[in-house]
Amino acid sequence: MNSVLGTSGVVLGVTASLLGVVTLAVGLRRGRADLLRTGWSYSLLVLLGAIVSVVAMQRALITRDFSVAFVHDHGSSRTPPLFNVATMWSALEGSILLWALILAGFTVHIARKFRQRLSDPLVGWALLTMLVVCAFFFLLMLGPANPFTSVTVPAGYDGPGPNPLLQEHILMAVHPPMLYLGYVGFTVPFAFAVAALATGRLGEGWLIETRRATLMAWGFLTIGIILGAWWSYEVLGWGGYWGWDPVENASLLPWITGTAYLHSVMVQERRGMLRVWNLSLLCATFSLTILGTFLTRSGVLESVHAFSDSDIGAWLLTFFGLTVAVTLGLIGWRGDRLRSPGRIDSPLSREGAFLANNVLFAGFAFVVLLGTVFPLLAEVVQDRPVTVGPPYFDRMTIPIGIALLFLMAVAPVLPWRKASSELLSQRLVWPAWGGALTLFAVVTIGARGLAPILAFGLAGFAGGAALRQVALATRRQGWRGLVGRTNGGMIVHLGVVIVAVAIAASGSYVTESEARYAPGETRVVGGHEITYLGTREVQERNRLATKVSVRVDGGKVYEPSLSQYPGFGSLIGTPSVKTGLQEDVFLSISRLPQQEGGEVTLRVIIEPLALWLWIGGGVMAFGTVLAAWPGKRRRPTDPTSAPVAEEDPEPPAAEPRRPEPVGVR
Amino acid sequence: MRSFLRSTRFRRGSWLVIVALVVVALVRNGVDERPTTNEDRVRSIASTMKCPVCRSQSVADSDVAAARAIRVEIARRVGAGESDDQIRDAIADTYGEGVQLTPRAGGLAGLVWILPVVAVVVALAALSAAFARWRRTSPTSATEADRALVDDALQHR
Repeated sequence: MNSVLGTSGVVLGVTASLLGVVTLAVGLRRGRADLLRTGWSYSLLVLLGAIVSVVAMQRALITRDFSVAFVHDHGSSRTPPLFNVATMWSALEGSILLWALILAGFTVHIARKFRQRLSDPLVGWALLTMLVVCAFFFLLMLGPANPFTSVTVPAGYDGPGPNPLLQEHILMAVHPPMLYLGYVGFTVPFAFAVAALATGRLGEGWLIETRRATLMAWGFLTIGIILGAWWSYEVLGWGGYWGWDPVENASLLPWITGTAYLHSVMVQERRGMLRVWNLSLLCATFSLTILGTFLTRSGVLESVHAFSDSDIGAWLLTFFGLTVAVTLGLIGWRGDRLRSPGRIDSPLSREGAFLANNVLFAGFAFVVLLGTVFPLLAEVVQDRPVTVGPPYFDRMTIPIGIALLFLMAVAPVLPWRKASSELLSQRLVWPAWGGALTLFAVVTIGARGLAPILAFGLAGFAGGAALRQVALATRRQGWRGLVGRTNGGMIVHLGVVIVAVAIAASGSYVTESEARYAPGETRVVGGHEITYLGTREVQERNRLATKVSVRVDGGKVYEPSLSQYPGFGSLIGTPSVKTGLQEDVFLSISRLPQQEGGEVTLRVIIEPLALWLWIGGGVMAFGTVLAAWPGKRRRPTDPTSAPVAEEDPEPPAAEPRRPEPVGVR
Repeated sequence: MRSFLRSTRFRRGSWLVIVALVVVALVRNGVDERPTTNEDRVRSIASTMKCPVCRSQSVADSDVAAARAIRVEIARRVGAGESDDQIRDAIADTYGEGVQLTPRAGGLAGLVWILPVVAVVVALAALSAAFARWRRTSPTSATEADRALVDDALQHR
């Protein structure tokens, strides 16, 4: 029943998106507005298909319908309700389903937003592109990632439940949807980029149409990445939050190119330059979401040979190749219209800083991509395995990060066109005070190491520059000085500064100890008293947990645990963290007592400022909302230099008056 | 007070003090580096070796027996006074090249270090070429046709 319902949803999705693609293509070719207007109905049908499938999947999970293969493999009657809902995105097929749902949602959103302009070829092409992507993801669910395959089950069968690591923390219910909202959100600007190329309307109009969508996609991706890091900190007991794992890199790559785009697009809006570059960044961002899915879902990274075990790898790689080929072809074909007459007068200008930003972000993306796929390439060329691990990424990306912090300090005060040194000295003096005093203070209180202290000092500098902008803007405009792209962007910068400080501190000044504790014994680790109280076993619905009680600083008792999940071999460790504004005390169990009343081996990690990572992430998200806040924005096509006519004291009620520009003719 | 804070004299003085503060801090950071203990060395070496049975954790971060054994081995060699590179090579000889989290500089694996440098050099060269080209061309000025286009666009908004 659920299988049939779900499959019919998928079939509806495939049919509607393919029919939509054909209809829109014919409409565009013949210039038939009536056909173009059907884009709205087709996108609704695609969304309906996705909703039907998701409802069927959730229904199967909730009723534990083990005749659905996905539930058979990943569901269980023991899984608690919330994690049962989240089971859908705990494995490949269900996460493709979630992807399709979000993608269909975005398609309907675009069709609705532009419902007055559906016959406009630009919108037609954008919807067509989105429907092509929809068709691909629905086809995946008919082919290699079918979530609704049915199986026959013996009576009394119970499934293993989702991967135990995913049942440990509530963040797992939130992190994947956020990440996917970000990934999939970038399809919107990508679709408009393709539309602009196809129609040849390469002016700045399409950038402005998709500005908010891009910003929201970026915001969701940011939240998704930060929540992922938080989850890994709270669940994986190694005391870190970022391990340069391919899965993490796959989420970081589109974020890097997306961030580069958000900055360089301003040069295009303002100066009409960097058109090819911006199109390339958008296409790269979208392709990287597909490539990332390929890398993490095809099993190719465990071994090149695992690739042939599943079909999904071939599908994703083909789609990735097609995307790259089509976009490169389009950009080459429109090459003559993409050239811009503008020029950048001086490297010491806002646009010069954006260029430098883009070089750094491109280098960043290149290093992460190279490090992620290098073991793969090496395995193909030679037979010996090569590992590229965190030390490589750290060494390559820390200098880039420090250079970006420096740029974050200087760029916001730079004017367009050209800056004089006098102006720079005047605008930078207060931020520089902030940076120098921070640097001096951290060295005085004992921080050592070039990279972290530079990060602190430059964070002070960049934070000062952002605060200066916010202070000036709010003095001029009141609360409106906090919203809009520039001002909201400065709040995002503050969030980045907080995150940078947290990364530098928690990465460089960790105190760690691994020691044996007899019951009642107290040891001091990094100034914290750790007392081992005892061990108890707790039978929970989905696991048998052995909890170790540890009193920290004579206060609250924390309980790191080791759990046995039925159906899974190894023990799953769950750390327990005492969170503080200054530092976290991270507790995990290395070895349980061998007999009653024996010694436990505990790992205690003191991580300074770790909490500020999540706070910084929150500030970034808040800044993104402020930046996307609808304000009394000037119409981008209005001339900025021409004075506008005085407001009429009694404007005629019939038609809102447009201010007449004077002095242009 | 306000006018003093905005004066050129204050600003010049500020920059001097700022530079002095930065120099003092950097020098102080450079002079008294903390002495590295043997435990620090063990941890730093262990964090560059991959735990041979884990997915992507380092020997320093992993709790499995194999990682613990390697940590003990590293500690023994550090105690015996071997250099960091000697220890890394010895571990790689036992467990295979794949346990090195940082690829070595030589051979094919060296490309992973060289390519980013090449990319940066190419990017900088391209940028400076672009700036040189921009400097040669004079800024374009609007023609009559351009003005007509703008007028037309403004009238038909």
